[in-house]
Amino acid sequence: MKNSTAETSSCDHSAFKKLLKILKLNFEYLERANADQNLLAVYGTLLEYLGNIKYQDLINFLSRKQDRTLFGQQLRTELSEQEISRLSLDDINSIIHDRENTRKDLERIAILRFGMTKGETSKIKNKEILIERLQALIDNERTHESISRQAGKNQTT
Amino acid sequence: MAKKVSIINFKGGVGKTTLSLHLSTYLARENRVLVIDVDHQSSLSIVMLGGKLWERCSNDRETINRIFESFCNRNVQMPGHEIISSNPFHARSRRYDYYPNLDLVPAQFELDDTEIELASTTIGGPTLSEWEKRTLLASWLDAVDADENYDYIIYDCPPATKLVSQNALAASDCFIIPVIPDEMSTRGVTHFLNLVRNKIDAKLKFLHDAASISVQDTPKSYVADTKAACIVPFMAKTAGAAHSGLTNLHTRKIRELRRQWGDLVLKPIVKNLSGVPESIDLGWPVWHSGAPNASQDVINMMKSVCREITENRI
Repeated sequence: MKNSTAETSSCDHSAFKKLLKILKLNFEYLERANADQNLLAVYGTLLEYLGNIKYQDLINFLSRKQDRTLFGQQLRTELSEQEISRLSLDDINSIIHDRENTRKDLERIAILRFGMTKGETSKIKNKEILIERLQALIDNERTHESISRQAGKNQTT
Repeated sequence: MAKKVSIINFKGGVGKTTLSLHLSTYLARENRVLVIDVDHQSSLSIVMLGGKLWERCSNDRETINRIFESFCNRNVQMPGHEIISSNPFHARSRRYDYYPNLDLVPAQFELDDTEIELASTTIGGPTLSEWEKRTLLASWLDAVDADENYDYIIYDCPPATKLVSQNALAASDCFIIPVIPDEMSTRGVTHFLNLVRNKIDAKLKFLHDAASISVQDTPKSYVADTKAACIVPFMAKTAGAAHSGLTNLHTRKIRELRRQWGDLVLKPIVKNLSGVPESIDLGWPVWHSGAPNASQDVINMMKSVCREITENRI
């Protein structure tokens, strides 16, 4: 084990990224081998989850550290409307994939951060679909970032 | 042979991308479909791939841009299959695999600049050069055996009729014009239909003959006479109490369209109903989005338009 926290963090993060790559390759192999569709669906969901969370959040969750800044806990008790409206996309991503948050917590995010109406959120059938909706909203905002980057590029000729 | 269809109109915001998305996914239930985004705005590409994958394609230059760049830039080779994104919806959302038979050639923003360069580049004799720069897409389709590999090829065209659109039309059996039923939009239809017949197709035929292009050198995907398949009234505004169900203006304009263009105007129309834009927001056609206001009426509306186009127009 290395001594420096920064070095440990950086190496582990790099190893995590490599692991994700291996898991993706395995997934593609299973797809080509016509593996069981249920297995592929669950595997795909796991990949999507792992691809969307920060490595540190995953480690915190697995080791159940009490000093983590668990936005899920903060959401229920501490985060004001103003704080919610200023959450970053990475933070929101962590929150929506934290199973400890309730549907009501997620609806607060949808309404305060993304401007969804109460009517719209109430029509969403269940928590899973609400998570999907929020993921789509996150992806849409990230797409604007992609567009900004692409639009700002100089054409290489 | 694949049936090749351009979705096109001068005016922006009339529903070209929405119709391209719905028609291609409708066809892909039972056919092999290639949808080609020829619009530098890249809206269809971003919807189908999502921002992340689209950005990767743009950075790796695995987009339609390379086809046109290969003419302007000696260092760029005409691409092959690598610009085809296979099963893009599944690549974007691993959990779902609704359209395994649907592929996409994405666009990127630089297509706008490339088109300008294309216009000012001449290689060899001017007549031959003008012919070749309008048939680049047809040549690429031949190179990737698109006719063998696909049953339908759908082009989502930009709101313009410059070289990139002309490439799509040169490689199309027919074109579909979505139109908002108001005066400005419907004038565009008259202009456009005449333009395709009397200028775009005519010019290509002239160039073909003037440059003495042999049969062997003519791309198999080139279509000399691109027919008008239909005009699709799109985003017609509803007015609950009205007999027709639409506003007075849109009722009148749709009647005028039918009087002027007869059977070319599709009978089922796309009304401006909630559910369609919400579905596009979620990155899916209306029948798969699960959007709360994508009611069965809205789904049936889009399906009836796609069914009519598929069964009777293309």
